[in-house]
Amino acid sequence: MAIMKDKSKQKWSIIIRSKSNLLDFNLSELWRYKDLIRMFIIRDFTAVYKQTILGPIWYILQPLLTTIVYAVIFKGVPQMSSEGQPKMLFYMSGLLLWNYFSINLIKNSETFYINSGIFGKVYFPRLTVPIATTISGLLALFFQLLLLFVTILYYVYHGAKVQLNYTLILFPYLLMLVCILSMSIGMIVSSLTTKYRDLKHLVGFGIQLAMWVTPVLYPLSQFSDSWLFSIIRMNPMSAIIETFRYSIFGTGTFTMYDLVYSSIMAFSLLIVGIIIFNKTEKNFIDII
Amino acid sequence: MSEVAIEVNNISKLYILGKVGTNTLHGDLNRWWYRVRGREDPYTAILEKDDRRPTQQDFIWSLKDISFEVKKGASLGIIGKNGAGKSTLLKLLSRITNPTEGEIKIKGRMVSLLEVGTGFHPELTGRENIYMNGAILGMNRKEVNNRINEIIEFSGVERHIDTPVKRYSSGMYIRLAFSVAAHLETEIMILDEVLSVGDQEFQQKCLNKMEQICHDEGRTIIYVSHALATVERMCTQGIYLKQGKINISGLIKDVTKAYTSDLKF
Repeated sequence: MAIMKDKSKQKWSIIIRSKSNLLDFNLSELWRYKDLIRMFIIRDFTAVYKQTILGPIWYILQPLLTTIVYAVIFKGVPQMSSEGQPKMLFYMSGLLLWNYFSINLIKNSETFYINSGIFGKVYFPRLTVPIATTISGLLALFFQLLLLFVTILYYVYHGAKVQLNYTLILFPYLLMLVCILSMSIGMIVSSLTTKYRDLKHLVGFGIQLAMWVTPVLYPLSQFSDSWLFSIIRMNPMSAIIETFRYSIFGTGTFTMYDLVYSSIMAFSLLIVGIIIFNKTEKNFIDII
Repeated sequence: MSEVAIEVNNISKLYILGKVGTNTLHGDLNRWWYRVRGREDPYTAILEKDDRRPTQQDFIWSLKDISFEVKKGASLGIIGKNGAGKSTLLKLLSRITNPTEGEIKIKGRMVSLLEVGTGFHPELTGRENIYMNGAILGMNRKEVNNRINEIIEFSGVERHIDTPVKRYSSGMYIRLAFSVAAHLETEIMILDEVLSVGDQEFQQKCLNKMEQICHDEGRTIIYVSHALATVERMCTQGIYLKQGKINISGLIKDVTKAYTSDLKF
């Protein structure tokens, strides 16, 4: 009898305890739910398109119009440098990555709040939601990158000095960093807002302000002799956008040091994010 | 045969009535500071000593020291009045929230149906929603593919299966949702009064299906309901929860008898 008990003890598939190991990410379980991630992506995608006439074109119109507005407004401000590049192209390249970052961050920051209905009824690894959100956002970005590509062709045809170079191979890595950064910060905010909702209001507002300490509408070099320079460099998104611009235009600041800094920030935030998120998912349904 | 599928050891769940936390950020920080220093939390300590004393905070042990085990292939019915802790116990078992104390061990794949149609999206078609709902309940695409014809046939909405579910009548919606749930292939199932769906005819169909599932060999069931007749039909074992504690547990007949005699006065 005693032996049988010992034997069966080793075969528990789930053990639920009041306290659990913070570093237990349970990635194998996440992998088992990969079909769920896929379904979430399909859902997000269809929900956007159903009953629209223009469909995916909406993804393109929004950044196109924003870029035009900025280009028109800042045309009258000669101090705003674009490092000799056409303003349209310069702004668009920065805005695409930044918009993805900010939208994904905000969406992820609502994870617990929006999904509390489902989360309260059935268990599945909650991490599937931020992952699916992040991936389905990439789809929109893909269309927007096509737009950027067409715009580049247009300006090259009209004689712009675009110098696509070898650093372009870094692009998938840059994209991954943007995904990780926005998802992680979003998850942290989402976890903290289950208890105090205040942060939710701060995020929408904060992300708008954050754009101005990121070289989206100006190059990093613009502030090279200002106290703002170090603040902008502390922002992990700065190096990513600067590197992206460098790989398209061949101008701007591209240093390995800054990129490594952004990577370290991204991965540390990811680990912190998952820990806080996992801790929150255990009990948040009681307090949300 | 006598393998244990679910083992519950001394689980308790504490709820705080009213506002979240200690009502103030100051209180929360204070509490956190106590915990950091490894001292006893003054806010819960009050209650431990005397739960009749009116305190600023109202704490409720929704469940207190619950232990039981369910053998593989058995079906356990949980009954009790409103607020006895049935739903809390289900939530703990289905991993929606964690116990305050104690542990639960589960062997085998488990799915819990606290609601039918969780995750249904109005814009998706019936077929897409089957995959969606199946995935949420832990089935992979292949498993759904194996059962999809059965699911559609059982639901009786074949003609509308490629229509977005927002155009469904509520009856069709529920039938499709139940149908997915009834065709899950898992060793352990947790059911919460999901049977009362659809019209009379479909209800009977559901009951028969559930009974078939319960009596399936090797499948472990935990079932919560107020309908005693159904519980008696489906379960062999029972637990009567009263104010967060196990009042009686054993054969289902004895448990329901204890419950009904309790109701009389």
